[in-house]
Amino acid sequence: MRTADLKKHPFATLFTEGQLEKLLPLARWVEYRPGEALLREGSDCDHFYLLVEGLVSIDLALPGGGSRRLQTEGAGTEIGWSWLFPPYEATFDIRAVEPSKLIALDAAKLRNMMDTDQDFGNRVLKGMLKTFVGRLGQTRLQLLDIHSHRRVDK
Amino acid sequence: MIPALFEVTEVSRDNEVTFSLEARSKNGVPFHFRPGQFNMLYAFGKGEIPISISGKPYTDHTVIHTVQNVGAVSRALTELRPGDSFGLRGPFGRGWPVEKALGGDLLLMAGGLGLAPLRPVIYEVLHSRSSFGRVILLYGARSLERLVFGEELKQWQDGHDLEVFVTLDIADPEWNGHVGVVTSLCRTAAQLIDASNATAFICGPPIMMRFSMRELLGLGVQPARCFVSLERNMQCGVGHCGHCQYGPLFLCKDGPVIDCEGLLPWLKVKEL
Amino acid sequence: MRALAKDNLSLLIQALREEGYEVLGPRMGEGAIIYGPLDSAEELPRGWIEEQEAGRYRLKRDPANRYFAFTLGPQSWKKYLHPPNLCLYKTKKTDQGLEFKSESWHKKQAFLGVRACEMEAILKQDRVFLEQLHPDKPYQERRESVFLVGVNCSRAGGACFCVSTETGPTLKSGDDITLTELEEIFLLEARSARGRAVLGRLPTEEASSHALSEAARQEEHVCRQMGRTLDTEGLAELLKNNLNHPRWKDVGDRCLTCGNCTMVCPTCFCFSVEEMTDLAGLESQRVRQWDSCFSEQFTLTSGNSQRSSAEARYRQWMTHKLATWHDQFDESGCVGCGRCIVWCPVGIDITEEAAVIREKDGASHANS
Repeated sequence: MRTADLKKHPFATLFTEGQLEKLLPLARWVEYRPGEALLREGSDCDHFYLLVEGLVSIDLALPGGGSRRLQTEGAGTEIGWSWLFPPYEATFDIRAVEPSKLIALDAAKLRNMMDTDQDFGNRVLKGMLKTFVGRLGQTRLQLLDIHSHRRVDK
Repeated sequence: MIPALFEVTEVSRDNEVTFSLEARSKNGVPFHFRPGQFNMLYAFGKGEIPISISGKPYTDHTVIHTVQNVGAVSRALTELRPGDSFGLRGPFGRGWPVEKALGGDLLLMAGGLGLAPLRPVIYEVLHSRSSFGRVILLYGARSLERLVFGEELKQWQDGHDLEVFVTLDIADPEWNGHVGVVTSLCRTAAQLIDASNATAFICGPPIMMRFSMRELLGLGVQPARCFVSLERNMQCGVGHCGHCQYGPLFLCKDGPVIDCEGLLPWLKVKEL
Repeated sequence: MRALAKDNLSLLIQALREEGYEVLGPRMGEGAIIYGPLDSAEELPRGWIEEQEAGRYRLKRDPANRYFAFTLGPQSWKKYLHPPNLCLYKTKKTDQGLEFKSESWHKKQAFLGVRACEMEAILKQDRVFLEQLHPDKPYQERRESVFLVGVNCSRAGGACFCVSTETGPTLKSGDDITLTELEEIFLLEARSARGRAVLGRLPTEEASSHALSEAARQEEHVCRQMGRTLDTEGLAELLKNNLNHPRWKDVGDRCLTCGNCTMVCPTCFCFSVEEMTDLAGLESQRVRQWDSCFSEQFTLTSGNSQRSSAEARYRQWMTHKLATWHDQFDESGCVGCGRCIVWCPVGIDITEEAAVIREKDGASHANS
């Protein structure tokens, strides 16, 4: 892993060269085949993923079996936020839909780095928050059913 | 203005409520249009509505409209069968400024039936593919049943001329693609192109267009190179009846395609 | 400038009739002065004037007994040039499919008594319907055949503000003959070849310098008498910058959205087109009728009105008239006739609304 690898994901633009160097030891490449799970609801969430290639889905297991695909995330997005807060457990299933290549960052070390280097921590949080605000907006639109002709009253 | 008489030559079903009508002029007059323009279609005894032209800009003798069955006139149009007649006035309005995308990247964003007015752009791009940089289509539909032009989407996806991303708001179990609103595809698309030099065309439900526009501008697309196709009540098509006014614009003749730079101040006003 | 004896006004009507025109002009009817066919000057509402105020119109006698001392009734000439109801074309079902048929307009009409503001209104509607990529055929046919006899106002009404909008009180151009009614005589001026031909048939003589100075005094008097003023300085920008002003809510609460203002406005042009089918379902017609941006249905798109509140609809009407009309047609859409003020059942006054917004420029909407 080199900083050039990190720069394959837009998350890298948030950091200085020095910070990227520091991130290197935390990062490794992971690959998933379609259908393979990155995370399962309730499992330990010990990585923060940067999706560089492919497509992953956020699924919800249904009572009695099967699951419902709520959203998918494509290349250039960040995956997982449960690693940030105790109990560090995944709240949804995350699966690869297409062959996916991700950078997995060690969550415990990342938290530690964020605590010791406040500037770095601030940059991580800002980057994540931007992604999550976007995802929340998309989720709201999904709820609204924008294709419906029905007037959505105040 | 009296309509020209057209005859339906073929009807195809795009989804449970949407049909594409291919038609030709009864007196053999060739029909020409620019992508993004619309016609006023008249159904006998029912009335007249604006419908975007969704077919190839290069065929002289037939014209295709994709109609969703949502009211009395559109229902009557979707019930037409080959050999049936209807009235046509047009083409009207300013279409997509395809020429602005020449030599650069083109990002097309469509929601639901909004793909219909953009399809002629795709045909035009494919017709002179080498004149454009990367061409990306982001398409969002409510569900698998509401997708339109499914066969063609697959053809485009399988070919190498377009990069096509399709997403559904609601995932069907048999769907193995993107899930989420169409704006969720923007970030992925932005990685493939130089947003600050790209041209973007957006067409779909009003809320979808508002949010897509915001998303693309946020990713660096220039407001003057980002275009949307707006919908309003239209009764004449030529700027006389007054219904389609939006701020200073008569959308029938100044639009329906409008650049976002001119639009931004008006978006801050509700019920305009 | 020619002078015509008052008793000879009927000769003008007669001359127009002999040229093949149906003469239309002001006459008493429906408790107001309205426009209709005129056979002679006797039918003019001579000796009548109106009392006009916001939400108020009353006819009363005027001892001066002039032909044209009244100002404006509820109707404008648009009822002839842009008829409130008009069949655009008829459709018949045939073996070959459908057959479309429209009728052409062949009548020649003369309007007698077109005031300065009304002339300006006609010129504004010309821009809407004619100076376009697709001129409107019904309007064009009517407009091209019409003969216009203008009349300069000798009084101003309580709601008049044509001095502010620079559209009166004196006719500038566009009519064929202009009349000015003085104490003893009419002054006549021909402005077109057609006008000169008709004027040539009347027993006129050269106007005296005394008469010309009386006309000038009369014009000054009317200007001073204007019932209202509208500050048009930067008005278009002012309104466009204040689309979220709290006054819209205030006026929206008073407005009944009845659309009277749009019906009486001589420049309002909006229409809708309806399908009217015969009982047998074999023939159908496209009928266009005046529509109003005050109707909730006006902006119906995919089943939803785009302007559901009264405040949004009033704002659309007023900002279109005074602001966005400039973007569309390079001029204001208001001619200062004041009809919208007089015929508003709750007396909403466009000049007052504009003044309040100017006074509190930049105020923001409490509920936005």
